Amino acid sequence: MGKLAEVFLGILTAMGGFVEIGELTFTLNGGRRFEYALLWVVLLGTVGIMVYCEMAGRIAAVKHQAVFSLIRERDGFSAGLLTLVAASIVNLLTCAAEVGGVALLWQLLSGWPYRGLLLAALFFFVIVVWSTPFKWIERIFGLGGLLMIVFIVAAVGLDPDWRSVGTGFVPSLPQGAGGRDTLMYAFYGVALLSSIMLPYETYFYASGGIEDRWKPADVTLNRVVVIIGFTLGATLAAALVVVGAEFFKPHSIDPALPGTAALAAGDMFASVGLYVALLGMFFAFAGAAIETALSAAYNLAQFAGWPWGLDKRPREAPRFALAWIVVFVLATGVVMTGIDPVSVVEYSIVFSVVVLPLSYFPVLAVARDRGIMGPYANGPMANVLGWFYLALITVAALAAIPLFVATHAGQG
Amino acid sequence: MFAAILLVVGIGGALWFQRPAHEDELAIPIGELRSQGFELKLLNDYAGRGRDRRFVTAHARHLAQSIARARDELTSLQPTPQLAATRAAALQRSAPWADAAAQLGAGDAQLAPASAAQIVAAAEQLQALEDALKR
Repeated sequence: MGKLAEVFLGILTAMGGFVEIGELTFTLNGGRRFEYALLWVVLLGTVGIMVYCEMAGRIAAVKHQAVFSLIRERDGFSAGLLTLVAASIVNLLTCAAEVGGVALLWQLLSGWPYRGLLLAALFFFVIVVWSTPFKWIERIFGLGGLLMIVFIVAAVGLDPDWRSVGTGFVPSLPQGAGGRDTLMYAFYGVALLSSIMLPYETYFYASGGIEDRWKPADVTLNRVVVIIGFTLGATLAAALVVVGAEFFKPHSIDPALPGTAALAAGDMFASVGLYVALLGMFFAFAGAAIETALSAAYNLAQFAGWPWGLDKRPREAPRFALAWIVVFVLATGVVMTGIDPVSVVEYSIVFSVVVLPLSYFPVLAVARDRGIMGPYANGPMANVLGWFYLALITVAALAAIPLFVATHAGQG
Repeated sequence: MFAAILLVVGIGGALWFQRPAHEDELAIPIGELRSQGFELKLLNDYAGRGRDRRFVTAHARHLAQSIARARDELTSLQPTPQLAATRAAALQRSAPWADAAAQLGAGDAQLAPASAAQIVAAAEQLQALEDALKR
């Protein structure tokens, strides 16, 4: 049971990365606009995040070193500091969107005022992270996030043309796409790749492996966790694309609110579907909020060399504890201004692509170094995939901002 | 030097935001409104099943806010003269929607059939306007 429970770290990381509030609307809208033509990007990004999380988890198991400690060691202080600042902004914005998303979901369930629920969400997150051991955070939010499977059931129930679904996994432009459509398709492709390979997933996963006290003997477990967790996340992302194509496109609706996604499940499976979808989104958004707040605190503590970890009492790691509390407070402050949480996370997803090469290069450099990793260093396949994805995300990083401007942030 | 760059960027930005809105910019809020109109219809159908009142009222309020935001965005755009009629038509067609969503948000079981049919017809007209702008 002990080893089996480790799978929840993978599930939590994948759910928090694949189906947070922005990704939810992104995949649904991707399906609504381009039907299945973006499914290959889901597959491409999933293999990429598996490759880098596996490397980061392996380094954590063998060297007990997390990503930002490597970044400072390999990139140097100045480049490391730049990565830290950029990653912290992305983490803060994503956390803000998730806190806002949780408050929106609570409002759908209770009807209470939004701002009051934002404050309630802040207290909820601080109490949960303060009082719950890391393993139980993994299990509760990893397991709860599995309720999102209702969208996989919905995708199957919509009875799509499976041949067309299969064709979507082969890279191609959507049929009859003009110049503007091609730009939009490119924007959605880059943003979807970025959202699947979000850097905080790797930061959180590696730090989680250290929290779970992985040893070199756990390298195989690390692979299993990555494969199961991210395959599940990718299946869910693909299912959301199908729901976008088969439910929202015929209704001419561009989903922009969590309630809209729940409405699809409610329309198909009545009240049970509605409430399972709302609960699943709650666990996924809450998991992502915790993941991003802790990632920001892990990054800062690892970069600065402070003691860190949820297994330590706050008085043993006071600056780490203060850091994640401050992130939750600032994130709540951002959405208290009335800004739309979905817009916030869509911006953060696009800008996070710029951080990706800076975050992933040190991981690849250490994982392939036999002098550091010994027999656990990358094999030829991991090296080829590592370099391929590093080149790919560098191209995506260069294209992200021009595409963002040219497509009015993906709106048209 | 830095001040001069800031000045150029500031003037450039001000001119950019003051220039008339073109087809693709006008299509964005019209597309949002089209989507919100069809969603209002879906939510109204869901409300008609008589279930999950709390969800329906809360989601209707979210929708009412989104409609008001999209209409504000459309109102604030200054289109080229040949697009002014398109903007006016979109604003006129979507005018009753925020109130209709608020009505569902206030706990009404369902909109009157005539009002629901009007929403669908208006959303279809907005779809036609959006398609014409994107052509």
